[in-house]
Amino acid sequence: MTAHSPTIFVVDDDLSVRRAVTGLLRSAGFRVEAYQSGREFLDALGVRPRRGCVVLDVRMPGMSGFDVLECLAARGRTLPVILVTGDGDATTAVRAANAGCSTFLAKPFEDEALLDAIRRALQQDDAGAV
Amino acid sequence: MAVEDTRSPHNLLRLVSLGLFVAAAYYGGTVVGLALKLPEATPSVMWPPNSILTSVLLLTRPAWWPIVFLSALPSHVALVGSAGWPMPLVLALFATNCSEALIAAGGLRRLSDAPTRFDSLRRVGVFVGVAVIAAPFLSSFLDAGAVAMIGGEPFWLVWRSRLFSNSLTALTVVPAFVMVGTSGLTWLRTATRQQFVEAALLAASIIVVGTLLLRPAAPDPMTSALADIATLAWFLPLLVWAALRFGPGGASVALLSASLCLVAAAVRNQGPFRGLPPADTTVALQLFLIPIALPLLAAASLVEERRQNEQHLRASEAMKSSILASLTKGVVVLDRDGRIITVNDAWRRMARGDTPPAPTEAGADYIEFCRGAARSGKPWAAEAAAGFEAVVLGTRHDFWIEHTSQRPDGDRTIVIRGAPLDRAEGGAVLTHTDVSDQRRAELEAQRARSELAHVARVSTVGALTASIAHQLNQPLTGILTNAQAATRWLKGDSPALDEALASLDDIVDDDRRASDVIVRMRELLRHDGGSVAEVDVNALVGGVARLLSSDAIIRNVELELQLEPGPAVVRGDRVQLQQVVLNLIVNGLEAVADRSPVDRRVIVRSRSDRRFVEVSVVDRGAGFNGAEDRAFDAFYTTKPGGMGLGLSIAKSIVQAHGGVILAANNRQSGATVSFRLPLGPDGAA
Repeated sequence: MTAHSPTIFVVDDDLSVRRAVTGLLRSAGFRVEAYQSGREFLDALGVRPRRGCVVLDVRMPGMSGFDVLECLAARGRTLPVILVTGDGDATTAVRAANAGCSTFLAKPFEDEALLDAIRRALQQDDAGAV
Repeated sequence: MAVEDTRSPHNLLRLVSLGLFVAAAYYGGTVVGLALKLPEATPSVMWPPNSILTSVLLLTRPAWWPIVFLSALPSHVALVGSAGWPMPLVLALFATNCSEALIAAGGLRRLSDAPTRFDSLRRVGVFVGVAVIAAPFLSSFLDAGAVAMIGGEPFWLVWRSRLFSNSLTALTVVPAFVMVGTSGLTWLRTATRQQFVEAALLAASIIVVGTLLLRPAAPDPMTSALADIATLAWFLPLLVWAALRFGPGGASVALLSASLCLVAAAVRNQGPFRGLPPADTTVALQLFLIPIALPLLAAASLVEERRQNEQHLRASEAMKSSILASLTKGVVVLDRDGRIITVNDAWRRMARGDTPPAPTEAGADYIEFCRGAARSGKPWAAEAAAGFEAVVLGTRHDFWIEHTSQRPDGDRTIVIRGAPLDRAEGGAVLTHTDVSDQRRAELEAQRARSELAHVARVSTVGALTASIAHQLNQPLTGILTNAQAATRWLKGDSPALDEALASLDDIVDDDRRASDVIVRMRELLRHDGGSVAEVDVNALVGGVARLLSSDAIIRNVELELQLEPGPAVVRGDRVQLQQVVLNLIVNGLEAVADRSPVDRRVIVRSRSDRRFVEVSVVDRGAGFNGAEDRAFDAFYTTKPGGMGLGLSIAKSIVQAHGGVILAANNRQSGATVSFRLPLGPDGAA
């Protein structure tokens, strides 16, 4: 069991989406760290164990959300990931499931849908940590 | 017989005919020449054989001249030899005869532009100088030498008598012989009945006067002399009549006829020269006829020259009138005062349709008519009057104006162009061209191009649907999430007003961002092209790149901008220029779609100098594959399902803005498409 409080990692290249999601999660009492690219998030994550979950945009320049998932898996990181995307099609949803992400949300999403997904993800993370 | 110049080497019949003709003519000429020899006088008044030879040489090509001389020799030997002269003298005389013909014909061929024509003063002058003076002058030396050496006669006496005899004969026989040979048959075929009657009357008159010369002398010497002079005088008006009415040909035939009549009378010791010693009679006849023949031939040539000039002038005037009448443009010729000199039928038709009708009569003031039209409310007419007045006065080289003429049968667009009239008195030529159909076609083409460009824009925007949806989704997500966050902030136990306000501010920004996307789409989807204004190319490229940023993300392509800092302003149609940049970048994104990750990159550069701004789109795709020269062809495409219009329309837009667009393969991989536009007055970056 880690000593840190859970952190919600928001990774999205769009500034307004990052600010809005950060604001929403903070209004719900969560601790939030926001990153504008997958590379920046992975570099900041480092190798220290962290508790929490990731809210990860799929379509980003350079490293896409799926690329970040692959990296996390390669590093053996078990942080739950909630994928968010503007493409709510079935192909992306299947790909997300195959990549092992816990939840897939299409933009724009309801606040409760995101918050519920985050709570489930944190429970999953707690269960994994025990 | 007109001896025609023929090049057929196998035409022996013509050669034989020529030889026989020459032999017969020389024989006949010698007979006549001997008949024209006054008794006890050595020289004949006229010696036709030399002139006959000269005439035949003029009518045949030089390669056949030896045939001519050889054909004449037997006749000469037969006749001259029978006169009792020694054969050496006979042959020497033949040689001198031939020398005169050779000098005359050779000289005329060299110095005259038309040796067989006597229809200008220059040609007659050359003929007299060469064939009447020079040739007899020179050959008489040979002649006199032969006669003096072999016949024992005085050299200078023989020289003088030969000179006068041969000169007179050349003057009277050669023109008549040559003109009958070249145009006798033509005259007979083409002469009118009136001309035949007149020629017959003239010939009969000459015969009558000639016959009168042969009447017995009156008993009273004074009466006889006066009668002879009167008879002689009658020849003069007949010769003038022949020269004026029948030209050089008629004059020479009449002169020859009159000369033969006079000489024949003198041979019979009749006529005005009877009673003189034979030698003196010979000289008197020669000195009487030569001064009459020279001016007569000159006068006939002048008359003929003038007649031909008038004919040419009439033909030229008729041709000009035909050309003017055939033109479909309305032509008005003005003098220096702006008054009409002449117009063509097309202008008369055009002028009838105007209200009031435009002037068409000679002397009408065209420029004053334009001023009147200006006063009655046609604004273009004032400019036209000033412009055309400058042209007629010579202060302006060219002027044109286009205007619309309201007519009962429909408005017409007329272009009037004025140019100075090329003459010392000045003036101008105005051409009126109805370009209504052309302008309508241009308008239709412009509408079609605009429609096509719109279709292409709609098609391109349609292809960006996913990108547009993505671009709208982001701010919409921001708006919803911020609104929900603000609600939470305000509903909390301790309402966090600052946080809520921050969320509301973000909502406003997101809304504006979404609105920008809609505005850009609406601009691109406009049917018309918009207006011409100052456009910052760098800002425009940046805007289009933002529009396509989502598309690049979707395609997993890196879209990089390397734009020169600062504005680069051109004058142009913003929507059309956006379409160009959009096409080029979309093409670049599609070109790298199937490339490896390191090559999935499109770079957009801009650079400018004092005069131009250049935008380049560089990709690392497959390149043009040898088809760079077709890249801008309409309907040419390598993309399945593509219309092939993007680059074609881009080219027409760039060219319409005064720019150039180029496509080329990169050295290593991919292609670069770049366009250059001239900067506006304030446009330096």
